Amino acid sequence: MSREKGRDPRTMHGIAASPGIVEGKVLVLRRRTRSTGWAHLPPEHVPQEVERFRQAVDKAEEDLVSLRDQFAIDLSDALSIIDSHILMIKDRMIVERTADLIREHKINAEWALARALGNIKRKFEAIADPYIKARYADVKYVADRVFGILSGTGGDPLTDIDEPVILVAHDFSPEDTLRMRSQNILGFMTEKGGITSHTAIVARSLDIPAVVGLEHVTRQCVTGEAVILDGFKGQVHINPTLDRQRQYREYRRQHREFSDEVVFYIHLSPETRDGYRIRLAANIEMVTELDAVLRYGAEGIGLFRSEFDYFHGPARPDEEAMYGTYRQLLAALDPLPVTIRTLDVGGDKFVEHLSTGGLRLDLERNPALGLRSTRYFLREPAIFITQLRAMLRASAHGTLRILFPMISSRNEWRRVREILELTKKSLTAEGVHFSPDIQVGIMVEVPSAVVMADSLAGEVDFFSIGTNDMIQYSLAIDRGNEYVASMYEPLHPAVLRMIKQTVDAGHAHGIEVAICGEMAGDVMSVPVLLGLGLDELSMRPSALPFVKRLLRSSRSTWLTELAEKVLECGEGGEVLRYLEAQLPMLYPEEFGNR
Amino acid sequence: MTIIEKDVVVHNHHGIHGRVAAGLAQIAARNKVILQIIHGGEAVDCSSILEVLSMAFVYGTRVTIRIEGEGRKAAKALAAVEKLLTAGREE
Repeated sequence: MSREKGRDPRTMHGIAASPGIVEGKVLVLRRRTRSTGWAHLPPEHVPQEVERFRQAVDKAEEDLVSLRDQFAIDLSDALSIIDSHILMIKDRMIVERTADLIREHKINAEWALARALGNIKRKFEAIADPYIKARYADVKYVADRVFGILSGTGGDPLTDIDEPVILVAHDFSPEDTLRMRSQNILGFMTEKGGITSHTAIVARSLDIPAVVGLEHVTRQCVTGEAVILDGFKGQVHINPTLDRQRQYREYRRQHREFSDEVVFYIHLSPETRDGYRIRLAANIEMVTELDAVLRYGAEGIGLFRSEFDYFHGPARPDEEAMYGTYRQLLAALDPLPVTIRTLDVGGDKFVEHLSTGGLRLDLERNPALGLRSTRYFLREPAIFITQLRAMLRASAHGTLRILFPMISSRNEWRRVREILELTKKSLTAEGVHFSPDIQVGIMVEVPSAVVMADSLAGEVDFFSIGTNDMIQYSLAIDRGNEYVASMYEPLHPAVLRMIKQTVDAGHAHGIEVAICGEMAGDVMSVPVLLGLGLDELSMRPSALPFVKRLLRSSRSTWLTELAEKVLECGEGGEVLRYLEAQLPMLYPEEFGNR
Repeated sequence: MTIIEKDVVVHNHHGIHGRVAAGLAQIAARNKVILQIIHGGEAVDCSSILEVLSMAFVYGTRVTIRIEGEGRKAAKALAAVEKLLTAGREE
């Protein structure tokens, strides 16, 4: 693939909706504007207009039913979405209401349908729950289908595609996505959408890589441009450089080769050829990801981000709701450990119903250095006590580890522990049973905690290194700031030395040290992290098989030597160059044949 | 003709969303009953999935299920509704 002249390579970040990496030319589908016109009708035309509308609805339903019947029942997720669309298309809020409007106002079907739709839209906009609110997208897909039939432009936008392409559009319906399987579609990207959208669910069930939520992508790309779409990271590289293309060919080769072996690796133990063993765990944020955790053979959950319950719903979740979530996790993994992180709110994650007592976190000048996570905990202990009670109660159903984020001093930690002890006492007084063996640990991510790790290690059961924040705080780089983002270097020797210092401090006190940042699932970083002596790597579930394979083809002596060497490097670029030279020799199958 | 009413708590992780609402409509049709959800003084008929969705029954909402139909069918429908709304894990 050659770079087009005059167009710069650029990278866009969106939401990883469906995993997989594809490379190809883009085809940009413009939004079709409806130019049907709205009209008043003479009274004698009203009955036939109602009839025309009903026939359009029948045709739309027929299309959906025949589409559904083309696919096998193994796509049950996708098919149940189509089923709900079939019900929607016949819903009285659409059909009866539109027919009434045609009769009442003597207007054409398109106008009446638009008005009926507007009414539904207002109702959905008033809904606070973001998940249910997002279902309006489905109503819209269904109505668009009827509009298309009414105006005679209801053809399939995906026909006549004769070479493999990556599609770009404002949005796709789940039905469009379903149809992509029988076309030459490598993957797709859209401006709209989220990870829980039905389009994303269908894409995942069909294994079509997709990145959604890419702002202005239809204007950023031109048909025919070369693109690499990374559905694992949610990134799109437009007009990629030769280096980038090479890097991705390698990723894809590994991935292809590897997906066949996944099943094989799940049951093998995570150890090097000479028997050095570590724990490979998963990072998740929703109970629904449990399937993936088990499917990819994780040996525990190294990080459960507990924010979902707080961010999806109009009210603060109650103890029962959270207990339900946590119990499910613990019971599913039992006896493997489940590490639940307490609410990590603040910074870029702010939620209105948490701002009691006049706190306005949204007004902070520098939120990354503001009232975040545990600092917030200490300011508003009541919110956290509810969460701690839910965790403690759930501990009766499995192996619980509680993780407190953003600890920056021993004093802070002691205050947190005191609240935890008080919570335990009150549960005991109430006669509520909980496990006596709960491990409590802290996230090491603030540089002061790294420096003081030897002092903190004596007071906790484990450390978990959060590399994302550690890198941001130690290199003073905001990854979201395009001017400095390129200086965000996970393999900067300063970061690697901080990890090493934390591991050494933990081991000197006989506690486990885990790592749960994105680095733990990064191909280049893994051999270094293994060499630094971490006890657990926790990553997104889909990265587990590859990391296990790397581990199993390693020898602990190489790893130690590799780590020693990179710790002596003077800058991030030197570390990269060293790894690029060494890894193909150590792991010819994984990194060789470039 | 029997009328059954029962309080249940919505356990679906995302509340009564598209597929759950579709499931309710199917239960009503299959058992030939009138199936309503009552909440906050408002009743909504489950034959309209959009009306059900627009009520936004989120996780943890306590609602009253009202079923009107032939005795055995109504009982069967209630059991199916309870199963659907307490299926905590899906999606």
